[in-house]
Amino acid sequence: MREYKLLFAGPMGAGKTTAIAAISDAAPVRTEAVNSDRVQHSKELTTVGFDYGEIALDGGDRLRLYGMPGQDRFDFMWKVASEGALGVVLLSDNSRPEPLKDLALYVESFRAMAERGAMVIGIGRLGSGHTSVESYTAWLAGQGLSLPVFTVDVRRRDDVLLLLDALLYQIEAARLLADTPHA
Amino acid sequence: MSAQVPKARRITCIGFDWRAEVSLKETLALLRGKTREPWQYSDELTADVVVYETHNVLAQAMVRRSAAENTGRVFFPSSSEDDSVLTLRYPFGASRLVACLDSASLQLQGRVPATEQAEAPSLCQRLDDALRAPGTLAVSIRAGDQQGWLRLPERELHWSQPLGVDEIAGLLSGEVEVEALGPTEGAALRRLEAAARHPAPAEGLLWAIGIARSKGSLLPRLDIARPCRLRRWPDFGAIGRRSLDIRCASLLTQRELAPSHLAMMAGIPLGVLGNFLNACALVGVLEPGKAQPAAAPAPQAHALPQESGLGSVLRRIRTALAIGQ
Repeated sequence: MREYKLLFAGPMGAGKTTAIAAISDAAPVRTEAVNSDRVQHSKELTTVGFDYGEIALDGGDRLRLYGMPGQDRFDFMWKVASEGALGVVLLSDNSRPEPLKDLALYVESFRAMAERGAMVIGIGRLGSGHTSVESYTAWLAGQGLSLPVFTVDVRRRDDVLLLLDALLYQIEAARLLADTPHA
Repeated sequence: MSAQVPKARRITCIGFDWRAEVSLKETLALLRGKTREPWQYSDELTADVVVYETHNVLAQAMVRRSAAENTGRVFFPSSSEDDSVLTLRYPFGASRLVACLDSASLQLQGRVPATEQAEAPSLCQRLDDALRAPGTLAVSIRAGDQQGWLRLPERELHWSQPLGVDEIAGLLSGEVEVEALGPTEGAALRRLEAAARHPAPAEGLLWAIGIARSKGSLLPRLDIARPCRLRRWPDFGAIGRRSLDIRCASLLTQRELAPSHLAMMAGIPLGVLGNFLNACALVGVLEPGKAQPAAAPAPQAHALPQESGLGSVLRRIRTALAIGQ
């Protein structure tokens, strides 16, 4: 049996646990504890280890879904987890004070995947903040990146599937173009 | 005296994957002479018969609107809980399609076949021309009792009243007037500003017009041999998801490609791809590439490679999630 992994990253409260729950075959394993960082987010519980879900693939293989803990003091775990990962879904909470600063932290941490196109960005709570979708894409363009950026509500399974659909096509397109000479 | 050839009735589909559209066209071609009346496929939503995907919100709105306006158009859903309702589900079986078409013929008896407006430019083209006319400050959009305007260059959209999905469906299926307003139409602009104050996202409407009102033709300013690229991804979270659009966007954001080349790489007919490119152009995310126009690639040059290990993994993930197949 082979195992593959996809990562879900983003700040505390962005919806990583919810997104994994929306697509995992079984209820995800959650490693939550009382949130001691109410400055970052007011929610009562937060992920302190990985969230974990999985999807069974044809042939007995498995796709493992890992939700990274949101607080940046866990960034050492992000690097370990990204080894061998197919790609990463970055979730942004637009109601936070500086969502582009959050984005910068995660894009930098998963830079290798971003540069090979294996990253997609979902913006939650767009209307609760002042940062537009164009601001996200402009910031990424400034970094030399052209990644899918969508407004989403990860409580809706269809929105999570949109993110995964785009991520899989990004990976596939990069592979296809690598095999195709420039015209 | 020659016998008069009966005019073909038209059928279209909405809310399905592009493969369904291609399948419907091909099945219709096979049915020539086997139905009560001749039928042909149409890209226009004003066709006599509309086959729609039951869960598609826009299609549902069109059905409601058509019933309210008593257009006489015949709709076939892809599924129904009512066994007495004729349904037409992809893949379309020939005998089922014949049954639906003959049933539609009976319902449409006495009605003149809806006419194809092939000679008139598509709404997509008229809107694109208006948006690009030199000196344009705004574009007025009028459909029935709906009045709106797009302010340039920001592309901010305003309507005379908040629009729901039913009204948007009406816009997409009915007559729409567009007019470019320049500096000399100051009075008209001020009237629009006063009359239409409800802001709405422009990207969704522009995208839908590109997809649904292109008449299957690439905008004249686009060239199938000239490379182009996307300067950013359209927000598919806001405008709705079709896997083929996501597939094309992932290629065109990573490399500039001529439409003919893109069609080959994505494995999508050029006629279907044209609507995607038109939509990107209307939304303003399509830009010309830097490379010179390319000769059409040899068919075998960019055929999809043999499935690699990674390709197999991606395909199996799609199968497990039932996406983009």
